[in-house]
Amino acid sequence: MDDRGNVVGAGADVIVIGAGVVGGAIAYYLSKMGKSVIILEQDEVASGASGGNNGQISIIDREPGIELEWANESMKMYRGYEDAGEFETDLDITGGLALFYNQEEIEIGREVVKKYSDLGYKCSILVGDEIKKQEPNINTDVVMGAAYCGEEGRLNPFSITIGLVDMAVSRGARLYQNTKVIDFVLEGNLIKEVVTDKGSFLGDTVVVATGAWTRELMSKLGLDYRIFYGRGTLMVTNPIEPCIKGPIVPGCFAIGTLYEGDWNLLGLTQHKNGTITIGQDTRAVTNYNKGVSYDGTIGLAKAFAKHFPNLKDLDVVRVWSAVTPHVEDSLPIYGYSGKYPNIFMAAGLKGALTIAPAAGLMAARIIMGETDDNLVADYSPTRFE
Amino acid sequence: MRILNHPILGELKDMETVTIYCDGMEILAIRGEPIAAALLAAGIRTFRKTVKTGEPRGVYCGIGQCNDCIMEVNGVPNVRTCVTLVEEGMIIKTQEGLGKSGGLHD
Ligand SMILES: Cc1cc2nc3c(=O)[nH]c(=O)nc-3n(C[C@H](O)[C@H](O)[C@H](O)COP(=O)(O)OP(=O)(O)OC[C@H]3O[C@@H](n4cnc5c(N)ncnc54)[C@H](O)[C@@H]3O)c2cc1C
Repeated sequence: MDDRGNVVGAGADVIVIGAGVVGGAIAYYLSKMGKSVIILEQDEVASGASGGNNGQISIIDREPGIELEWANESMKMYRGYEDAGEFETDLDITGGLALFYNQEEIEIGREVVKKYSDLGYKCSILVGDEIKKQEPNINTDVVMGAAYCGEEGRLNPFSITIGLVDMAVSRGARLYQNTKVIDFVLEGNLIKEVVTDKGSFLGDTVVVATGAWTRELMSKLGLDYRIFYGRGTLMVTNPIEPCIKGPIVPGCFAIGTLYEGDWNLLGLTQHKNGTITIGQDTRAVTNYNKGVSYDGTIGLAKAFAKHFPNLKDLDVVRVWSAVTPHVEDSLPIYGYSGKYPNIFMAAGLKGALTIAPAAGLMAARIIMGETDDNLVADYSPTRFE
Repeated sequence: MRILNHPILGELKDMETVTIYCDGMEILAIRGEPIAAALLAAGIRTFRKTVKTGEPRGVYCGIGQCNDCIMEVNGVPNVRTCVTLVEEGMIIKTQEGLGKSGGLHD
């Protein structure tokens, strides 16, 4: 450190930018495999989407292939962290519902459910009062049907994100919070220095796990990755005894009729501690605006009261928002850059809480040279270079 | 504990009382005061027991933010007693662990 408290020339084998669940998982496995790691976070651990989400494990919105394999593998890995006494995950596979409000959605839902049933998932379409088998408190007057998936559930995003970073640190990773990457210094086409507002860092490999901020950061290198972001507003009630069994999402999540733009649709989770997070109002914003949508919040509270009249008098105690990215072609940007060969990208992984452990392990293996990236060739950042 | 003669607000007079019940105990409260104020005046410090360890909790922030003072009021769980005013005949219970959902609807 120099006399102004700035870091000068700290170095490591790998510099991970972003301490969300994705950066945390990659740092965790790299540290475990013996690499020296520096984690740079502009704010605090879990200050991005990883600390502002609904904590749901989602399956039937994922394409069969590597993403689903990551999801399956990650559930075992979450159990592994608990068994090893590393950190709590609150993982609970409760089964989840995607709610349908008209016949057309149910019909598309049937095809989706068939696709996942054929793959061996415990999926079915529930109509009318059948929905009460999963959620006895739901008002079936306002919902026409639902897609059930037995492999879905919930977890504690804070505990997991902080746990992964803590475990990386306990294996020697160095964490710099409130340290924002603002530029890169090149040597040929390799990144030589990662420049932050607190000084420069040196690393052989640079992992970019910056979520919604990725496009802006990579523009410093003249790249235009097609990754954009929206702001999701959620609220949380005070805790109550278990009333809602599993995660609930709008049906369009499962049948793929929702892509971009602004939307306000009910999705919720009751957590292990009894609180219920209720979302989600999503708006296009600029400048990572962290305000909350007032109208949207009122709309969701009303929708919640309609769906769960028994719980309509619960108090909402907090409302917040988080920015989360989406990639133009809906695929992650994951793998080595072609233009800057020592940059490994890991951004835009959809619903990353469900897949981060396995995606992080694979990233670490690729960086260690233990495996190639053939399985994830479709995710390669080179498609935007 | 009740301030009967406040240096700025002056003396507390012309107060109308209501009767409330806390875990069966009859308490004379002043109309217009929050439940928490009435309980503190009656010497009650424990409003609820925590979920995991059953530890006692009472008033913390006193302005409706922290949710530490929640109790079951007329069967409704999770009521913030610091911002809920007393009413004649209110039945108040120490909340043991998570609130019971049964009392949430009418
Ligand atoms: C309202 C909402 C609900 C959601 N619900 C769910 C759900 O139920 N289940 C699920 O699986 N997913 C859900 N998601 C998505 C999930 O939160 C994200 O997929 C996941 O958190 C992404 O993790 P990440 O590590 O890529 O990004 P982030 O957690 O955003 O981490 C990126 C980090 O990089 C840091 N950073 C950025 N730029 C820089 C820089 N220049 N220098 C240093 N640091 C930088 C940021 O501060 C941030 O901490 C939801 C998202 C939202 C917004």
